[in-house]
Amino acid sequence: MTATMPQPHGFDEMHILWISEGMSCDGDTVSVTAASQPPIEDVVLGLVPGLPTVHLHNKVLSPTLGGEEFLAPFRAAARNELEPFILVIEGSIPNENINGNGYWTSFGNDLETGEPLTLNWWIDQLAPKAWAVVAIGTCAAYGGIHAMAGNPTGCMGLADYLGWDFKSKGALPIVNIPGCPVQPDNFMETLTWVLYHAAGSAPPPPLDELLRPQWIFGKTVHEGCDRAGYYEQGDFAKDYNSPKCQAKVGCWGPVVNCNVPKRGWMGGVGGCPNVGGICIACTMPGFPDKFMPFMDMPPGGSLSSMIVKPYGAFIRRMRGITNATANREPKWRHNRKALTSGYNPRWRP
Amino acid sequence: MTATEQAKTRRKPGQIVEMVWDPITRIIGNLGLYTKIDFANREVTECHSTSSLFRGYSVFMKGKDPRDAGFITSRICGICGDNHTTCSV
Ligand code: SF4
Ligand code: SF4
Repeated sequence: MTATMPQPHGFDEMHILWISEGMSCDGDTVSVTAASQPPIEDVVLGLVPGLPTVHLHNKVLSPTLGGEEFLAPFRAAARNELEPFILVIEGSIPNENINGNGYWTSFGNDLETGEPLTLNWWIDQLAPKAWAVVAIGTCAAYGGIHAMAGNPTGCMGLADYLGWDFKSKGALPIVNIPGCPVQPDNFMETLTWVLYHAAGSAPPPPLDELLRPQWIFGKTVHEGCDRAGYYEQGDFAKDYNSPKCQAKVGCWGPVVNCNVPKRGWMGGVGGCPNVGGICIACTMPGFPDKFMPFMDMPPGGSLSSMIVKPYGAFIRRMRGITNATANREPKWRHNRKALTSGYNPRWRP
Repeated sequence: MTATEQAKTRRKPGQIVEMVWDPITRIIGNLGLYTKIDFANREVTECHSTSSLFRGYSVFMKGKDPRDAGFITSRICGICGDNHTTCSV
């Protein structure tokens, strides 16, 4: 680096304290192991230029023997003895005010009393000390499946628990990366941005009012869907074996903020509606209740698909004719003893 | 009885060590193991496992459209979601 280039003033090291003990299935951790933009291994091994040295503390990906050895950095952070760190929360936050005499979920035990330490205790301890707080997956972001109607735990998203105006020590709001599970590269890309920000070489990531990364969740599934052309031509699947638009068999894509059809799932392959899965709106704050029963046509879908139908049928016919023309080569491409391309040697510009 | 056979059957004085892994790493879910192991006699004298998480799937699935069951139960586990989907059908 030349002397004229100022060194960014940021952190050289960053711990990631990742607690998946919320109401979750740990599927976000599993999902992130499939990331390639960048792979989590590369971030941990320091192969991404310009990032702080990352110390990852995640239960599934931990090289420790478990138990106290694994809990040590979390306990240290709670005692103010480990910083700086990014707190990653996976799973929704139960309401421990309504737990009767028990608790809903815990993470290790109190060393003195032997009583379980609840997830909520850990959040209360660690969130105010964290340089940044990240909610991975729809459960942690907004509540998700475990917060559906009729749930007994009263669980909620992290922002519902900490407050939507929460600011971390690094002056960042909670960073929500929804998805059930989270799309692997969506998470790693956002985490990498936060890490570059920690290194002092990037501005804070731009978030929308629901604290999602704008560049990821700013467009709808429908706008990026492989099958959107079928929709426009009013050509709809009647069952789940069809390659056509699934609006009539339950796809919520037109009203859902998610980039998965564009990005695919692993290495660009997959992407719910592209590969025949109806979009069940798994990234949305209203998930799942507002989209159930999933396999019924969305109410708005019947109107829009009805309107698009006559237009689509007509335009499909017209395009069929143009397509037939487009599939024929021009007539001057032949091997006869004459040039019929219209070439005129006397023509000058 | 030969000397070697005697040595096999005679219990050595117990050296019971308490060993605890909570949480268990490298696998998902809230799992803890609490054991007492007698290393001298190669014996696990006590072992309890605990799962410190209650989400209430069987509670909140009541009254939902049966076709939604698979979409919901697949969220029981982040590794084997497909098994839970299949079992719900
Ligand atoms: S399958 Fe869904 S997202 Fe794709 S075009 Fe149809 S309605 Fe839109
Ligand atoms: S396309 Fe729909 S179902 Fe698929 S990940 Fe995005 S929001 Fe979820």
